[in-house]
Amino acid sequence: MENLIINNLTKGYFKKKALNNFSYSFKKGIVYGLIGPNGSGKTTLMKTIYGLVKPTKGTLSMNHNKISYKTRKNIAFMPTEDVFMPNLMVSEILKFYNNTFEDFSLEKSHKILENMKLPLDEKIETFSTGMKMRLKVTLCLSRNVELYMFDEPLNGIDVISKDLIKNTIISMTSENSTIVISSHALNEMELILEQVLFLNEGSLIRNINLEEFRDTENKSLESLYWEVYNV
Amino acid sequence: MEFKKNIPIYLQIMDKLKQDISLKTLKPGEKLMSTRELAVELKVNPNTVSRVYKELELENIVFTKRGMGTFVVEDETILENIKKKMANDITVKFICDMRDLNISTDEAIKMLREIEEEK
Repeated sequence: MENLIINNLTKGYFKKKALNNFSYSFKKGIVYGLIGPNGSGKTTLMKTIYGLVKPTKGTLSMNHNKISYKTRKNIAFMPTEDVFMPNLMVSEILKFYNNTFEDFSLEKSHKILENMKLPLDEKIETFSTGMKMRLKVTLCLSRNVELYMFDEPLNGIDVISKDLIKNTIISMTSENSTIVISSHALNEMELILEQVLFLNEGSLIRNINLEEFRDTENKSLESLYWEVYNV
Repeated sequence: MEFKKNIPIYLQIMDKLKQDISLKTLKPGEKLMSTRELAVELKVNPNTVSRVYKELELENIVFTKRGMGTFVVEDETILENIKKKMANDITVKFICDMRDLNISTDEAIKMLREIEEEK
């Protein structure tokens, strides 16, 4: 069932178009990949869906409600930026999230934290880059919403952290929610993603179902990437 | 399990499970892992594993008990057939590859014998 519908979305920053006439309908129960070089519009798209960026043109709706700060209640978004205060303990951050989001589940967060091999009673300042990323993914997945978006969850982290994040995302998929992941780590993501959207200069230039693509073309996601961007 | 990234993942998992079933690494009547457990173990999308179980059910190799999970069938003849089918596929591929090299089936058989004797 389609829950997030985007029509002719355009976002311009002065003369430059970050998104250009983007249309797509996302469905429940599917893990989507947003692929594209830096500056292709992936982050702007996620921020617009989360209601942080106002579209210049076009419409976005989540379950027939126009995207606004209200629809944010049903969307969890993990941005690339770090947002933690370094002197806080993990348990304090969980408490903060629990007070901020009605749908946050402390029980779920403890379970995911365990999967991610993270401690409850340590300060963030002692964390490595990989541990911080694991915590960010944990906080996002600990909410009970219909749409989870991760901006570059595997970027710049060690192999073990990548593996823990991938396993956790796999185990948290559900037929009642949509997962959208932007990534440059094609090799690592290609077995997890089902549907892949290729962006270029703010436009959707290709949209494929990976299993169908492997079946008909006998190619990997990475070789498709080279083909799509023609480099 | 290592996957070839240019071949549908569900087909590769199906082949692996069929092999495990025909070699009785997975025994008749044995319960399979849940789709999510197997997905995490193989690091693939859970919908891919769901598809594997559905296809194997259509081929009468596994069956689902409602609310209990997915099980390997107990009928030994079906299991024997999987083995035959897999052996058949390997043979067909072997013969085709040999043909591409312009080697006749008789010659190929001779080569097989020679190699077997060496080992």
